[in-house]
Amino acid sequence: MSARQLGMVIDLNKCIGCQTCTLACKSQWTDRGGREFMYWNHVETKPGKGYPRAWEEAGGGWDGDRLRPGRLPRLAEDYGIPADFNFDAALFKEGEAPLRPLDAMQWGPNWEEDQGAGEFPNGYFFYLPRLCNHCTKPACLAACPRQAIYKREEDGIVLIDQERCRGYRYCVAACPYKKIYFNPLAGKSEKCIFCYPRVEKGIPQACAYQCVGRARHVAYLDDEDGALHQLVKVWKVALPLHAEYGTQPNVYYVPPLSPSAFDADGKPTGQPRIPDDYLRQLFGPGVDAALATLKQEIDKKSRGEESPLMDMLIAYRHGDMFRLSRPEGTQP
Amino acid sequence: MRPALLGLLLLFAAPAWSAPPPERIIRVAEMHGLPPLDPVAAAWAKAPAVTLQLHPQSTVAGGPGGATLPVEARILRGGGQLAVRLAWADTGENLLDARATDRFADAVAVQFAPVGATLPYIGMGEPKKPVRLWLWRAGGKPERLTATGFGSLSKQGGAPPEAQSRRTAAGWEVVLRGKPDVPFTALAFAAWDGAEDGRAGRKRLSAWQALIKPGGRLPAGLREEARPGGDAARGERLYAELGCAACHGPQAGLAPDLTNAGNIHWPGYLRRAIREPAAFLVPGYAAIMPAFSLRPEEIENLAAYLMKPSP
Repeated sequence: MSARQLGMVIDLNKCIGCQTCTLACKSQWTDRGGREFMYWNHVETKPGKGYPRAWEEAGGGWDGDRLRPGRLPRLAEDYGIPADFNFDAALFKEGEAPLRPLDAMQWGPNWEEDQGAGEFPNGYFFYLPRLCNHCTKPACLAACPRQAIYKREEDGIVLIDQERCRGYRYCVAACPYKKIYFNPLAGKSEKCIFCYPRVEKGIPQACAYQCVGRARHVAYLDDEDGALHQLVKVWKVALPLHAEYGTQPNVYYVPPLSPSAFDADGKPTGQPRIPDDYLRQLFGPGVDAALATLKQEIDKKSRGEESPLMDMLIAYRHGDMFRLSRPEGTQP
Repeated sequence: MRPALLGLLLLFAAPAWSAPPPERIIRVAEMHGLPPLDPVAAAWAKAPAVTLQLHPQSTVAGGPGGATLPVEARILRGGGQLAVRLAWADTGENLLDARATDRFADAVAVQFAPVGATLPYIGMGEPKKPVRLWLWRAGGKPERLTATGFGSLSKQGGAPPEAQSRRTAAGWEVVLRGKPDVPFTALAFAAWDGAEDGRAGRKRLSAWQALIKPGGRLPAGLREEARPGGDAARGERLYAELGCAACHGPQAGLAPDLTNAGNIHWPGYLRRAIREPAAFLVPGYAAIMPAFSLRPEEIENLAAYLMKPSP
């Protein structure tokens, strides 16, 4: 555990799956040198196998104080090869050749976009942006036999020392979110760095800053006026993803509300389209209370009453979403 | 001299230290000029072949388990360089692959023990007794490395060794050639099998092998290290009385598993570890072993028991 912890809250009710965060991250950090297949930040459609494929079944995390075994995702089958496309034939030559990947693709970072689950008229899906959770109890750090992974005291950011890493990939297997990637060209493992060079200058992470939906809040957990403390501790509407993995993640999600399902006669049932059970699987038992609070506050706001929670989630001022400077007088 | 007669002579004439287990000695052949890099070069016939048993690493978590791996080693020296030729059976060829995230390469390493009063800990050295290493990974560039214990492997400056490998139907033949950067007395070997996700401690390793010139004897500095110890049967009883296996048994997890300690350790290390357990701790284990007040012969007996050949 670090002296301070920087965290993120992602409001899934505002995520439109536009992948601006994905590209903001990719163009900044992972567009070269064997990282082409890596998405330190990506947005997957839930329900779905996600990225890497079936990451929720790949093991890792903690079983009490013991690391649970995990497996290594495969490049073509689980991540997806970064395919080249027939741009020349499709765009610059005469004819009807459609734009197609040149390599046979088996998977990719957004492979199941908008597929979701359920039958018409009760189909449902939502978007789940995912990045390294900069966990308080990181399994990756514990799994490394070389102590190549460390958690920074001043902000809890988890980093891989590229000088120490020898590409053993125990961290990749140990991370239950499969958010550490092995760079086969460099022979070392790499991961989201929570944009620490930006953070150190008081600039928010690229994924958060570029989010067009104003879905991402960034703050230190101990900053009582910050969104993390307010949404996680006070309002309890932001929940960790798969807390049962035991790593104590520091990216939190405001769970998605959904419209009513329809019965056989086409009448609204009053039950949410996204089954509560499914949300409990992802976000734990606190999801019921979180959704109830959200509904209650939305109703207040729609009646013209005050709702500090809604004001925070709406984020009238973009700058208010990011609280990177340290509170007066505190030292890391 | 007929072998039987030689044996009889040794039995009566030689002090105990002159007869360490035969696999703990590796003879180097001297030659004019540089030894060959090519594993099939004729010059290799001049180097005596010794078959070493590489044992699954079982001191820290993550070992491969399974059978021992016989590796044939030959060593040539000339032109200021040392060349080591290693050959072992391996069913599948596993190369470093820039298009795979889940595969590991076959690999082999030579570990050098710098000249010193005692040998460094076989598991990649100790904080004050570094080892030097050459590492070859199939499909990669050989590396020159140094280490002071598990998890401490780091790059060592200077020219890396050269390597040439040959994949046969049976397995690998690899030659590593370079200039050891410190005077050394012994070598040890380790091999990783990509097919079983070999990397880090998921390897098989040999005990230290004293490097000896043709016709030479064990250097004086290593005689105490090699001295066999006392009465193994008494040592076994003492091991049970003291309850050593409670921590050092195969599944205990509190201290290195010593079931097959004799496969990879020399008697000198075991004596030191019993006498002064806190002097060097294998990384990952706590300093929980008391310094037992044992008589010198009891320590000898325990060492003799631990050195027993594995079943």
